[in-house]
Amino acid sequence: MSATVPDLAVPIGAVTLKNPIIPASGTFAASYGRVFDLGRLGGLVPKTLMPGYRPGHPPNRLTEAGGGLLNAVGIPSDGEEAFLRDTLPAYKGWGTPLIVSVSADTAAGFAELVALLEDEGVDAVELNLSCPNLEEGGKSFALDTKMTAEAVAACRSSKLPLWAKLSPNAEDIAAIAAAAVDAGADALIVANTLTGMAMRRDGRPALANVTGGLSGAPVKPVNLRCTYQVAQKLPGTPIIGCGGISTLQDVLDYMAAGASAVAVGSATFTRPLTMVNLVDEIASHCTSRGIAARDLTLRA
Amino acid sequence: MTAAAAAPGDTARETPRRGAPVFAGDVTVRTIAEASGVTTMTFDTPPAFRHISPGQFAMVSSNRDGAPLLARPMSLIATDPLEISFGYQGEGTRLIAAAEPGEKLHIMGPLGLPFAPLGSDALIVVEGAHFGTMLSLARMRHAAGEATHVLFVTRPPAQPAGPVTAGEQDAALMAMFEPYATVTAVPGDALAGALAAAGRPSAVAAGAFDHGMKIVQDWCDAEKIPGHAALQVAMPCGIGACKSCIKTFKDGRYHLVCEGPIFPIAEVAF
Repeated sequence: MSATVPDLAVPIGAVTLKNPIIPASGTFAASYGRVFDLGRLGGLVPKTLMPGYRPGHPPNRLTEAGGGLLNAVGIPSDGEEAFLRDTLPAYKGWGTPLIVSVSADTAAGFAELVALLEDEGVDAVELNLSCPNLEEGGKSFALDTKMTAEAVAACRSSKLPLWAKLSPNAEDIAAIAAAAVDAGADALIVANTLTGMAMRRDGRPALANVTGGLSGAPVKPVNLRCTYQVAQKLPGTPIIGCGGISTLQDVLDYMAAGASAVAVGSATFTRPLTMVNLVDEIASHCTSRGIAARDLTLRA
Repeated sequence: MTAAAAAPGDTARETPRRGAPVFAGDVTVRTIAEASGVTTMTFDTPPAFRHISPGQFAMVSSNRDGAPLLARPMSLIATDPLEISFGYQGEGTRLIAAAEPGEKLHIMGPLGLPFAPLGSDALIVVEGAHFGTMLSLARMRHAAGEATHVLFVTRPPAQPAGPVTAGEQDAALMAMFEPYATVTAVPGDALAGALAAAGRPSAVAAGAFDHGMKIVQDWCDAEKIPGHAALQVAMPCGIGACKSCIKTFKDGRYHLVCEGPIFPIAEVAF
């Protein structure tokens, strides 16, 4: 490794990210390509694709709360055809891996979306398991080992690497993670937003959906704990840490807890250049220490 | 100070493309003036803002400790120097308004698509909370020698408007339009009558509360006059990533306001 050009690449199973910084699904758009070179990121992650047209939740969908952001967007989607025709091409050609996030309300629905992506030039698929499972009374896949395993297993015939995105709301996230890996997940994203609620001054809920997902700095201690627990349980499984990452120290904390890379979400809304600044800071950090980015990951 | 853009049809005009580069970074405040709860601020002008058009906006936020996480969308009033003007409504806009000359604010822009050409004799319908976009439009049209009449929809005079009353602020805002257009004050409940008396403009640009927009929409439809709506909702990211700045359109679907914020008024459900 050169002393001045650090090796920032990090392997996530069969996929090699250009560097450890990728967007968190749901917080990114190809339109950020107007602001910075998307090819500078470790990988790209469009908003989660769901089957068919979904309008998402009514407004208000997002509010500031508790020092973070609380959202209930409801995964609006224009459906598979529009995704393949309009969305996917905007993410191609940037010279960095493309990870497509999918979700569905049945295990078979997950499998259909993954199958659809099989020959679309996608590098990996994120299974966003936070969606309610309509076959199990609306309970989130990510809160149950059996449902998580069923969703992952339904997709496992795919050649594509499968990254399971877990929920910090799970009672025992390490057990959920183990179920996902046993069912065939190649990597884990730890973790999604934490369910919360905010009120307006008039006593009504701030979000139309009443509850939403809390993100940003307030969730970092929770998701960092989740990352550590999952890393301890599954020492051979790559982890992408997610939750409240906006500084180099946040990145280092997650990698010290066992993450191989991190996903940045809310911080991009506050300062759109956060991710590229983090890439630069990691490069400087590694250069000054004569190490590669992958060396930042600490595992027991 | 120059108006935001050249006139429609002027070869110097650059119609911003959806894919045009967007600046993001800290920009130094040059001047700041506050009167009647309306703050007007100029900045050192990044090159990306040298060709802007009415309807475009930027996401602006304070760098001060304790500032809200999310930027606030601000209409771009003029370039050379870059200028914004706003009435403060909450903590985010209050902190932006508290900036001092030499202080750096964070700005992302220019964003949004501008008005289509409105022709030689346009009517603007505007109320206090939407004045920025329409002030930019009136100034641009004046610079191009085009006639503009403004129906300024007034709020109940005693209603709070930041640190002052709506009556005081509305008077100040109308004075800001007067160098660039003829201005008529119209109470909200008299808007339909004022439109009926407005003659037949070449086009209408409207930015107001939903009930007022519905009145304008119905009138444009009945009179077969092209109408343009400047929509304004809470806008967390400004660039289409958060999918939160939504408005229902007549097709029954939510549309992202940041992808306008200027839309054909006939398409929007008010």
